[in-house]
Amino acid sequence: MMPHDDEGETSATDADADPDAVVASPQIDVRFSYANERTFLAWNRTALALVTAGLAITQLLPPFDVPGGRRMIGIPLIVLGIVIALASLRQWRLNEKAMHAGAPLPSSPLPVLIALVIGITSIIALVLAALGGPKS
Amino acid sequence: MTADRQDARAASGVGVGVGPEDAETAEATLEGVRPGMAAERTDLAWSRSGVALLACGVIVLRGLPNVAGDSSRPAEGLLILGLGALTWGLGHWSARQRRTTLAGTRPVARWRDLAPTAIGTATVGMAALFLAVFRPS
Repeated sequence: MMPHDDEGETSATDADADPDAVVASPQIDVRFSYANERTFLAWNRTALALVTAGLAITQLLPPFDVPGGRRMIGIPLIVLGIVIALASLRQWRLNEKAMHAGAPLPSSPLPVLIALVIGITSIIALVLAALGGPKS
Repeated sequence: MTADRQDARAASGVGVGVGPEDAETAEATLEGVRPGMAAERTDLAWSRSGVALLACGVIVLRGLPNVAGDSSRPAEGLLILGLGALTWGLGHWSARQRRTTLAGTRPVARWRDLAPTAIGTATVGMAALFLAVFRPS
């Protein structure tokens, strides 16, 4: 759903459907839009960090004692990074829409998601560390 | 709605005391001219995102010789460095362009301003996932 708006082409009919085409009303404080954008960027950096960490674990670390151990930790982090990169864009859009409509901000699934995945991955890491030989 | 905004503003400490009712006193201060420094903070956030990609690119480019021996991947590293330069340059530039919206004529950011960043990160993630699944070192 790529937008096709250019300045001045906004019509009243698509204003409800497409926040990209909405002309900001004067009473909307642009600071909230800026804050929304920064939140998106912060999630995006988080996603990038997760992908990088997952890649480093699977590609750079020496093999663990448990076969496939590196991938058991790395792949969930990479997948989480991909999901967050895309979901944060969606969340930005929902927030922007709600602000334009004057509605309460929608709740975000991202904090719970990241807490769950990091928590589960940490437990796997703990188990792998415990199963490792005395050398490691 | 307006009251909610005021509450949020007060709770976050942003723009406290620079509401329309204080416009006269606020005019004289930097807060009044650039409330909350929101536009500048957003520029900086774009810079941070670019720098994060650059750092990621350098690591992939050089590998971690002390940890993993010869693990450098120059082509992929250069690609990520390029993405970082684009994010820093274009993102920062477009954020500055969008500052004119402080006048309130159009939304601050549009889908097409942010989507390339999200899709770029997701693409790097897909590549990493491919490597992790099919090309474990």
